[in-house]
Amino acid sequence: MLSQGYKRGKTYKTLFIKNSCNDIILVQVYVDDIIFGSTNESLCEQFVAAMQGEFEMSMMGKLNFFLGLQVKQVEHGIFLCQAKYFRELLKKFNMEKRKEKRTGCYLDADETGANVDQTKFRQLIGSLLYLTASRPNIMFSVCLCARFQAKQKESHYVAAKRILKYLKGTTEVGLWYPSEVTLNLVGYSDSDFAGCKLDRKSTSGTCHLLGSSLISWHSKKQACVALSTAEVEYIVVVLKPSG
Amino acid sequence: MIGTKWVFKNKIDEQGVIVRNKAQLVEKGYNQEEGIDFGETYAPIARLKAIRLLLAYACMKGFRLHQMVVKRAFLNGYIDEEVYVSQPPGFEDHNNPDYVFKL
Repeated sequence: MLSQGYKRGKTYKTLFIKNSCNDIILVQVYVDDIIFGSTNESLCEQFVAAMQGEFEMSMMGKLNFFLGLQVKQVEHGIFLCQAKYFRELLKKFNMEKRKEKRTGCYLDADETGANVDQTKFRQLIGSLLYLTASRPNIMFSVCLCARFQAKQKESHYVAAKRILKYLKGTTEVGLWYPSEVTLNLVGYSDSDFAGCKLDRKSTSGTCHLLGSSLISWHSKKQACVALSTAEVEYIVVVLKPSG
Repeated sequence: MIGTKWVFKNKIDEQGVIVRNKAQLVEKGYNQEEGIDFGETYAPIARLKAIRLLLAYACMKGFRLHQMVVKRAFLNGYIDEEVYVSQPPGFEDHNNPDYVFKL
């Protein structure tokens, strides 16, 4: 692709860009899946022709399902959700008939609690982590549960399943990217102070919005103990999320 | 030169009955050392963050996104260097035990 005038992204090596006059074509590669789009349809056609000459290609069409992400492209924006992935997840953990629950999460080490199956707990955490791709609101709770993967107890498993129950009530919720003209990148960060009851470390979170579309977020327990609220906020800004 | 070994698997159906014995010849890739056996390793994995950014950008510019899939991506890989593997255990050539295969 590089030989055809495409430039490779500097941060994300899987992004290819080609400019011609005022038009641009963007190509994102994920192993054998390719997403591409252009301001000029003829550039798209050129790209398709070039790729078909090189490899055997299949399944052409509008982007609607990619890596478990459902992408709905409509007139005035794009809607992103993982409802299908989540329903399969419910089936896997036999939670289809459970009642929806409201949020609420508090966990400690629970050393006296009963042990649970490590594999199952980790599977659940892994699946939930993937769900955070379109659900920033469960990021904190999932990360909190994930911290107990080394010594998982019954109460942690119940808490993780509670996240599933909450999600069941809000399955269809996702991210909405409206189409508008502004291209402002805005970042926010916040932190609690000594929020973790076990080691008094603080947990911080950030999010980035492009225009009014939420594109990046993270929630992370800080690596060191902060002594003041000012220090807490400072650590968030300095330790910005990687990638 | 990369060593090889056999991996044997029994494929079972839903009732747990063995339907097929499978043998696979694999490379002992763990013996490779960076700088000597391989240079840069690289997998074309896009981050979800990057995909979201692309979606948001596409929205703003108002263009449609398309997707396509490469058939049998694995078979489309090319080997640029010479790679040698040892003779598979159990199938050695007794006349020439020091020979290796070139991929």
